[in-house]
Amino acid sequence: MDLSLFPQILLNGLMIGGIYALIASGFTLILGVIQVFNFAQGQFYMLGAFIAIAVVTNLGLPYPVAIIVALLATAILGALLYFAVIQWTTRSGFFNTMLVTVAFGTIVAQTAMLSFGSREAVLPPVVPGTLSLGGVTIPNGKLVVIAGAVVVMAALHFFMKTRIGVSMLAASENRDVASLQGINPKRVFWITMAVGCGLCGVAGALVAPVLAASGTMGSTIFIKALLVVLVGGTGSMSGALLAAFVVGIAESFAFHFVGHLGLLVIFVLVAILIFFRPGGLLGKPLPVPGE
Amino acid sequence: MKKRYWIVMALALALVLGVLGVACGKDEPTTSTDAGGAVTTAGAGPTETLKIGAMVSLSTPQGLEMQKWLTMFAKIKNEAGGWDIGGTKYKLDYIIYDSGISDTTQTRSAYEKAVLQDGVKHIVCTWTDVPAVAVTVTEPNEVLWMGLDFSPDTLKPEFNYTIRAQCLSFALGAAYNMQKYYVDKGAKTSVICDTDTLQSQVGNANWAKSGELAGLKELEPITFPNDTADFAPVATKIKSLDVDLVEFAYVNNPDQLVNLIRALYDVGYDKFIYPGLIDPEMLANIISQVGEEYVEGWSGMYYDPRGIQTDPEMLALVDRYEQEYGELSQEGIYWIGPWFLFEEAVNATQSIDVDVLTEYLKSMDHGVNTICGYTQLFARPDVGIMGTVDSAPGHYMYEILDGQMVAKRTVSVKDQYLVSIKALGVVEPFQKYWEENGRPTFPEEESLFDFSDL
Repeated sequence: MDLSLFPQILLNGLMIGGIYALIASGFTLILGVIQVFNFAQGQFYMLGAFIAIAVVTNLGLPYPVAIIVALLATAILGALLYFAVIQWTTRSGFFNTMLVTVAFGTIVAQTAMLSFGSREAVLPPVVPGTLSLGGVTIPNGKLVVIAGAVVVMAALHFFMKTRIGVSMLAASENRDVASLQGINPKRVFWITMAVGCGLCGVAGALVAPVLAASGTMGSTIFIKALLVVLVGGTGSMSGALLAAFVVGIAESFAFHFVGHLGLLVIFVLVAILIFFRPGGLLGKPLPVPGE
Repeated sequence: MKKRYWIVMALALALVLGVLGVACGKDEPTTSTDAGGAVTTAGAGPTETLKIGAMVSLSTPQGLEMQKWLTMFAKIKNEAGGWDIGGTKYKLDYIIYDSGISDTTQTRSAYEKAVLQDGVKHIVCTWTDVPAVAVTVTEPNEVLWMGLDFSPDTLKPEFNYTIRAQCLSFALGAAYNMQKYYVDKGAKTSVICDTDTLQSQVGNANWAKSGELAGLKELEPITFPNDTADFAPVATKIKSLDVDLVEFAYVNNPDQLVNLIRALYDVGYDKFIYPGLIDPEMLANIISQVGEEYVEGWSGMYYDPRGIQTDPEMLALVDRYEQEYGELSQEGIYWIGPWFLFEEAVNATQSIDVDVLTEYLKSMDHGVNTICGYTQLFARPDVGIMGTVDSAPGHYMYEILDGQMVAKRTVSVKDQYLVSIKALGVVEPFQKYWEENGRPTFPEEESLFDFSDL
């Protein structure tokens, strides 16, 4: 191996991990608190990217405003999805809710294809140029993504320590006991949906200046987010964060050494991990329907 | 509480209806209201209805664009009072089926619906279906299949109704023209970079052969999974190879292509890039990411006929497209080539009979103009097929100068045919075929390659 490439490959993995971390944290939050396997999660990422691009290019507003708009819009949509559908389907079972999110995701993806057209959409680099350190090239735009991911994850960490955050954790552990403590589960659940979907929206908005957006980007990223959640452990925020970077770095190295078979290698490693640790690195096993 | 619930429900309902409204408001798929056979009696105007099927993935930009074009062709025919075939006026009903992306189950289901349920007898234009599955439905039911295939699955002497009206067997002339362009600029080594699909593997192997013929040393292709989110690892690997040219031969997703080029720019790759198929809008997007200087002097495929196509009928179709749908998009324009071959066959034979049309197509001795230049069917003596069943499609080349795409030249059918035969190493059976049947004639176009170069 050409050792001079090692830092570059590692850095590539960290950058990918930053994107995965944001999406997977929203996904695992919803799974952990509401026990909803949200197959539409990737579509909120896609919507966030398109909203950010539209706010900057069509409305001419600054990029930071676009991030906030993307966050709010996807959070509201997530809450509406909860009120309109999920609060009813959760009563009829885990798989029914999962199927509903599949349907919702498909509608959003197809609508995006038809509404935004079959084209890619781009945002000019917000922070152009690259930083070169000892042979390692770091695009400034991706540094912004990593920094943004760190800020969002830190904000989430502190949010989870607030009253509503603690209520989320309590409701996730036992919603009946939480109710007896004066916690309104429905309120907690719709806020969880809003936060979880909003995180994806922010992820989309953050990557918009460094990656071209398309109507299919939500579907392609979802599999990776799922992988991250499985590795990190379902419902574990810190697990998702750790796994995001593990998967990102593994993907970067695997691609360099085994090319297109890299993903296969990662899936095999994940299968082995799940076999020995069904709860992933830091989480608990997937909820079993009926239990 | 109850009031608040109903407000939320009303908002949600409005959202869902809005979403559905957007989804249904544009690009209505062509559907047939007639049941039964392929030809049915209609009311006033045209006396009968001719159903033609197309199999595309409606989740891809190309499939959506093909749907627009094919729907428009039917509309044009119908506006003229129907298609006059053998003295009968036919209302043309182009039915677009969603056959998925390399999905065997969806392909079979779509073909069975078309052939067995809707009674379609002509499948004209396909995209990302599974041809090997398609022919198991079309051949036994005597349905003419004029589709796209990159694999040898549809190239069998026993097939009677299968015409590869769009394929890559004879498409290496375009690759050769492009690769020669970069060799003339000093490129010596190259790597092909592409999405990891079965079709791209076949395409890449052929593309590499033409590269070698043009004088390039082709390294092992780099392929990436379709769900790649960030292309920095791909770009890092390419840069580590220190090649003179990166060829994005068949990267069809515009966002992937833009992201790949951006990633190469970010890692400091500063040599030649063949970007494949792009259009002015995509070029503008690429320039917004990497700057005008980075793309100067690149050359690639080009499907916009304006500035290079001289046939007024083809240019009129482009004008009509823009009236119907707005600015021209290149994504589906190349893949609708089979329509023009079909139209020519029907007009020449004045028949919609599958046997008559097949016989005509299998003995074609001339090229047919399409929006993307001439296309022509040829025999495949190398696999024992003496009828003209495999196509050499036309292409345009562009060059990027001062941030603009400038039409450079047409890749001739002759180049497509002869370069492919040479690059694939099948000169001998073709020479034998020419000795017995005579050399084919080609449309009058400037060529880089001749019989003497074989």
